[in-house]
Amino acid sequence: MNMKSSTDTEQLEMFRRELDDKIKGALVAIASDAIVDLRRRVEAGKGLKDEQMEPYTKAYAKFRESKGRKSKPRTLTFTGTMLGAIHVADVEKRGAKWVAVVGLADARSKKLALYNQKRTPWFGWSPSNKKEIKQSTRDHMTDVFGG
Amino acid sequence: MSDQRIRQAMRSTEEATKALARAYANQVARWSTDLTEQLMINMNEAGKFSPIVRRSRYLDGLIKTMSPQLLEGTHGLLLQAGSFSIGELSALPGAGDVARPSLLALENVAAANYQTLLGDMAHVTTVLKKSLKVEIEALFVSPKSMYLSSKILAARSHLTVAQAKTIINTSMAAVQRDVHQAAFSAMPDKKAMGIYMGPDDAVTRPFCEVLVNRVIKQEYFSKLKNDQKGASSFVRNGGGWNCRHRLMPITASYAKRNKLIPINIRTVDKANSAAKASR
Repeated sequence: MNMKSSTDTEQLEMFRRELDDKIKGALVAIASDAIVDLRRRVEAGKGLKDEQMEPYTKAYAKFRESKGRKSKPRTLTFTGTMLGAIHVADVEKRGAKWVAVVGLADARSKKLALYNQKRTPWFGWSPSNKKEIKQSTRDHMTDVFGG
Repeated sequence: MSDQRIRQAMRSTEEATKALARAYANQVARWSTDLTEQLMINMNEAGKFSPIVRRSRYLDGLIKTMSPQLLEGTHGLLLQAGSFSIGELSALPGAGDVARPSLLALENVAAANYQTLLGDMAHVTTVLKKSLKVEIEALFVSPKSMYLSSKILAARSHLTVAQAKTIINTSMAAVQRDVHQAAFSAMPDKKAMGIYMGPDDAVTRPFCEVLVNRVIKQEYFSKLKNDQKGASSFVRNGGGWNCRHRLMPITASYAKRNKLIPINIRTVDKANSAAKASR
């Protein structure tokens, strides 16, 4: 009787671990899709409210053109380092919740991101990003739990 | 005899000038030590400066307050040197008829030299302030600015600042691509794919231009050749040195939802040919 109980516990533990791995993988996928969606929004010149971000100043636009970059729309890309630094920083279980953390990989990019955030909010999930995340979550969680 | 006296007078004047320069050099060294000590007051036990040190106003104020120390006693030194050389000249034949060194004349000569020295000091403190700012920034900023990192790397190697900048940019991008690769391997999709993201402008390489905003299946990663010596790995270096593009992991369902069609082998060949043609 005791032996059976022990096997049940082990199986349950194994099932729990498998489920955790699947959820973790699904969250990495959801977060990765979300990052791409965020980048596509910014590269289209759209801000945190899906609005067109304000244009670059005349002097900076002129500087960008002199370096072969596009001067409009505001895409927050010059060397590509800041947007390239956005990544899935962590996926972890906090109590009963699973959390995926999206951040910037290096301090220089964080500094630049904060500066730009103050000028024209861009980092975060816009209404269109949220819609995409919801859809993505539905798809990936269906894969995990079956639909 | 007269020639001998002149030579002697010249020698004495030269020695007096050297003594003056030595005394002044010691004074500048003392001043620099005092200035450093003042800066160290703002350093904590962990060896980090408090934020105030980075403020231009603080450094300007400190140098302004301490600058008078640089000129302390220099008037006396100048007076002493002047007195000595004029005294020597008085030994020359007929010197009494040519010049009668008075205390007032001596004061005037010393005052003129003092003014010159003051002008030189303004230049010295400006140069010192600039180098101090660079040093403080280097100690303070974490991470260092791109410009500072490039300058340090260039100074420690045989590279130019522009070359150093390229190496730093390319290395940083490679690290970011490694981070994205970690996400690739953690994704549940068996057939991973990436979207080649980044700008499409006048400086975009032909290789990148073919691939930008296109979805690439993992099976094609190794087939893509950017033809860049020293940065040829597509996964680690994208289009090569200074490449601004990143291969971001996405799922097949995202690509499908957003009507992003993965490239085929023909596009891979097109990109590879573009890379070759642009060499």
